[in-house]
Amino acid sequence: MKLKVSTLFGTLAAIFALSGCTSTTTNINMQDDRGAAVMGLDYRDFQNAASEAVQSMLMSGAVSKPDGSRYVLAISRIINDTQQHIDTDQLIKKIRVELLQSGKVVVTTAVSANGAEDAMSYQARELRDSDEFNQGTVAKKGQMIAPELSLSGKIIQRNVRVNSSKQQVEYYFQLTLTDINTGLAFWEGETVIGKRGSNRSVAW
Amino acid sequence: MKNTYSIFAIAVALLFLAGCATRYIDPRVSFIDQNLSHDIDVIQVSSRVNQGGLMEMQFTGFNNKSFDKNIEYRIEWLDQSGFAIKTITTKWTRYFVNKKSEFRISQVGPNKKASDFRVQFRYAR
Repeated sequence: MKLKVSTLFGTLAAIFALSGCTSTTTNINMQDDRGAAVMGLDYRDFQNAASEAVQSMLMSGAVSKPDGSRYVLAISRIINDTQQHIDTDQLIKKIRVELLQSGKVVVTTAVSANGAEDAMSYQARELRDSDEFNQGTVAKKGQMIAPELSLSGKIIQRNVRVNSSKQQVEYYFQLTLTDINTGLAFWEGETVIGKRGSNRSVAW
Repeated sequence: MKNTYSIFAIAVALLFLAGCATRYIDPRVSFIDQNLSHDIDVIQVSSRVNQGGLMEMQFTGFNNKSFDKNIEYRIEWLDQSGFAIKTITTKWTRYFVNKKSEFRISQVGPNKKASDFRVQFRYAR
């Protein structure tokens, strides 16, 4: 009897201890995230950098074509020079979507620094001369629109030691909009995001 | 003696009127934290359409308190029908305002459909 009671008590204690260790999962309110900042880059940083870049581009008039039509933009190389594994599309996609919705720019997916983003534009052209396809519906030669602008950039990370227990991490989002015809930079922007925290926090 | 009373009465009246001076209110500006509306004076809210056909807005405010303040603002863009336009720039943005200082916040509309805007303020969380 004594053994049974102690076993039961032990089991209950273990269950309580284990349940105390479980943390509940919550959804982030993306419109108003009041969560603590992290030393690495999170979605809020990409949103801030993209928002600032788009505002600067639209305010500068660099993406306003004199005849009112839209510029064709190609995405060039975006270098990740940080210690973190970053898919640079986290930044560029936000900028692309916003620029497209501005009605000022349309992005080509047929040309980019890393080859065509959507290979289908070329693959569909291989259907020429195929008897299986109505040739009237196959893309004609000379229909693709060449880009006029190119967006390139770099994300840089710089770690600075504040004191024995604190560090400062600086992130630089640098972007350049180049006129492909002349090779001149129509617009350039830089957003700096700084974080200061414990040395024990890892920024990668 | 009568003169002294008159001067005193005028001074009191002036102080009273100064206290009751109406503050500029713009229907496009709102304060989520009511106390903040006493700290920030709305000086001017202006807008223009730039060469690219996009609407630009500028808010000019004044921190009437004797201490620096961290605030947050959010600008929502509306089309002609009053519908909100979805954009990544409509987000709470932290902003530092110096004590007893004027400050300006400006933004450009996300596209040509943007014809009106609303500015919201709150204390920084």
